[in-house]
Amino acid sequence: MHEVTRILSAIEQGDPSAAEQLLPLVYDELRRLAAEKMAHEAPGQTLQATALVHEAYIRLVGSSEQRWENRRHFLLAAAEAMRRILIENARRRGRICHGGSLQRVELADIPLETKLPREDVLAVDEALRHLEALDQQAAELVKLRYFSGLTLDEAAETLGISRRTANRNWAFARAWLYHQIGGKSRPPTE
Amino acid sequence: MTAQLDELKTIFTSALQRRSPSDREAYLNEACAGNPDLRAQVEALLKAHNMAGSFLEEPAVDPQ
Repeated sequence: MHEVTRILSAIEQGDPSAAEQLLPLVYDELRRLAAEKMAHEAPGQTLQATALVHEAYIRLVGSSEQRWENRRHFLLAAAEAMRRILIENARRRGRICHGGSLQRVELADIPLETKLPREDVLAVDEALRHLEALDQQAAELVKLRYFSGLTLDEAAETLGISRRTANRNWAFARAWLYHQIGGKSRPPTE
Repeated sequence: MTAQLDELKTIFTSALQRRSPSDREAYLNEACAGNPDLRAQVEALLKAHNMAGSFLEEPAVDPQ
């Protein structure tokens, strides 16, 4: 816990190498927590970003951390870590599906209670990389909401922007990413 | 962020605030006057906005 607090302070001081130190720590903690949760949950349970990130925050930073700057650095690192975990998992699933003997499932065969992933996380990731290059603030907002699970209000507060700016950036980023992905935001049935 | 993107964002936001199609059309005619590329980009974003549904509204979940 003290290690992460030290790194957060260093980031706030403007130490360029500190952010690189933070990401692997957060990544490892999120992976550990995810594995713990999956071991105790029923099969087929989905991994909820919000709960994981919140728990990682408590464990690594502690609940007494009040400084919003530190929250911001942590939550952005957590979003980046969650993003990587999800991408890795999606790619691994893709390899399994392509190499295995799974049959192509027609939509009509899928029972109603089966949940398909809502978005193709790989497509979102790629589109997001383009957005990051063009509009870092809008991209950060998306990352905090989509990967760290913050509400729009929480994300605005974390980034230190007004609700109005957050609304504007959110509407724009969503439309831009949706357009970038080409409207095919759902993954093909495997 | 480039000036172009900022302009696109501003016009997109303003266009969204105009609810009636005729208001929106009039606004876009004025805001994008002489710039058909910009107009096309704004229209594309407005279309995406309408079609996006619940895209990204829920945090990513990882179906194991």
